[in-house]
Amino acid sequence: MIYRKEFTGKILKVVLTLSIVVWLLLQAYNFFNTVGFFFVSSHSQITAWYPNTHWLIFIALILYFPLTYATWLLAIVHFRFPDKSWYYWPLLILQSALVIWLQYQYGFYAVSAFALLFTLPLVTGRIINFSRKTIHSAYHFANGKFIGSIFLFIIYIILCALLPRTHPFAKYTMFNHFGKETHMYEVRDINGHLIPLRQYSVFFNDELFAYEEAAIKNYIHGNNDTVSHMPDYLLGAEMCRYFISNLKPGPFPFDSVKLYRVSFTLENNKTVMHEKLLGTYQAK
Amino acid sequence: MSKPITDTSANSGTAWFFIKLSLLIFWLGNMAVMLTQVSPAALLPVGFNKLVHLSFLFTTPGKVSIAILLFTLSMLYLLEKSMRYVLIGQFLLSVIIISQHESSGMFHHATVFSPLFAVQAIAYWQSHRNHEFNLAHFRTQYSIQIIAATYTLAGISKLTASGLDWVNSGNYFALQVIKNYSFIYFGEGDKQALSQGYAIAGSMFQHAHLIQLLLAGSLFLELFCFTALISHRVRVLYAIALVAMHTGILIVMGIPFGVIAPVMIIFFLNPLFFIATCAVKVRSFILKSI
Repeated sequence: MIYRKEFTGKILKVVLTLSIVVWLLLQAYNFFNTVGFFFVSSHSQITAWYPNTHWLIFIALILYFPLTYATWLLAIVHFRFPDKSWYYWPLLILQSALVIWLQYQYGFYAVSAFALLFTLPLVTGRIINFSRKTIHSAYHFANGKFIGSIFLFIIYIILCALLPRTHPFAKYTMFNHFGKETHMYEVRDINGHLIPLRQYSVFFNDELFAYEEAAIKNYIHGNNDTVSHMPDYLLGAEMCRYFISNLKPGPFPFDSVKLYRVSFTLENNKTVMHEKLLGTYQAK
Repeated sequence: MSKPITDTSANSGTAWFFIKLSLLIFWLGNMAVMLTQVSPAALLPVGFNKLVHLSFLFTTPGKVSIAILLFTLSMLYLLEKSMRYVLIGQFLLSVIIISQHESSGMFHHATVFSPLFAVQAIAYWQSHRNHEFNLAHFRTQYSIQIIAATYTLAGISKLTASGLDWVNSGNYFALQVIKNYSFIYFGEGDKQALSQGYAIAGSMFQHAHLIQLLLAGSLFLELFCFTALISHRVRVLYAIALVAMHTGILIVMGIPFGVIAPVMIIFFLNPLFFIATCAVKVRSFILKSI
């Protein structure tokens, strides 16, 4: 039994160590691709490139890696303070605060998600593996009738609030706001007859929305962020091309297709439908 | 010959088996749908896919491998074998498939599967470390916490996006109804769906106060879903109220029960177990009568 416990502990340590190495590599990749220059530049250089960069952000980005590394040392290697688990907590809190703040400032979803996701196993590993006293208190904590019954509920809500659109966390925004206008996409043939999307295409309206967002982002990025929106005729042509290139196998009996944006608005307590031609595509 | 159900308590092994069975059927069905829809291309990478590209997993051979893995893990889960590792596997598979699916621009709203398996894994790991840990209670209770959190998050999201005024947005809610029915019309060509949407929207304008009341009710239900954690009885009442809410959404908006509602029913009510225990009681009653 004792042998089994030690064995499992070793495996857990190895897994956690490997995880942290992978995490650091991924972070390094992300950081050096995006804000790598923060590590090789002075604050004055940074402010020349990014005029609104506060010196606190600069310091935070520089501190980010050492703090992460220190947390890892204390949590995994655990060679300096074997009996003083409290040394670990201020660092962990500081690191988590830094992660959240950096996310708020820069929106590094992926980095922050991974930082927090890997911090959690570290804490769990720290609690379970390295301190007998903490093991005891942790189990009392989890087994307590009230705390145990609501602990994960609170943790999940906090993580979802911090990391929206980072599965398995989400803000569950469905129908959280009803806009004054809503729109869909409609495909018609040259004679104006509706072409049902699902009859010929592999996707639903959802994918057209996703493609619209991707196309606009790509257009703005392609113009070095000098434009704020994509002209409708370009968007329409792009979306028609996307529709045509994702047809189901089989015959497509239309010479050309027209893509419309159909919007619904409210006028005098009545819903009104507006159609706008976005683009035409010659299929044959 | 199958064993008779002797323990009919909510935390019994039999109850857990029926929860697992229901969840598995539903999970496998959803994963299969997502696997068939998803393509290797990720239009808008979200979450996990922002960091790691796993498009090779969504080619035909990749999908076949995932399907085999899904089936194997499901069998092990049902047979209660190597649960700590199986649950981690199920969690990872769910994360990968759902992330890729969401990155393709489709919103199947299946998020809840991944954290469910994660918290069950936590319960099994805790039980492995501490033999006094009440696994029978917490493996379902942890899952219930996640479901309650999901509903509460939906309520919080409504408050943060629209404030309390959300309950007064009944007229704009009608636009959403039209949108949902036009989704069917533009997708399937069913013109009747659009007419139905207009008819429902029209009746919503006529009964604005009723819609306001229903919206307020659903917001209240979602926000206070954590009360379902208090006891089994409260949970059953809450489940009935939530089923009524989802049925209302189905009738008014034409949106079928998604993922969260059936998962909630499985954990809050455990209908298969309820049917099985009823059958056992009816059988013993008949035998006694004879």
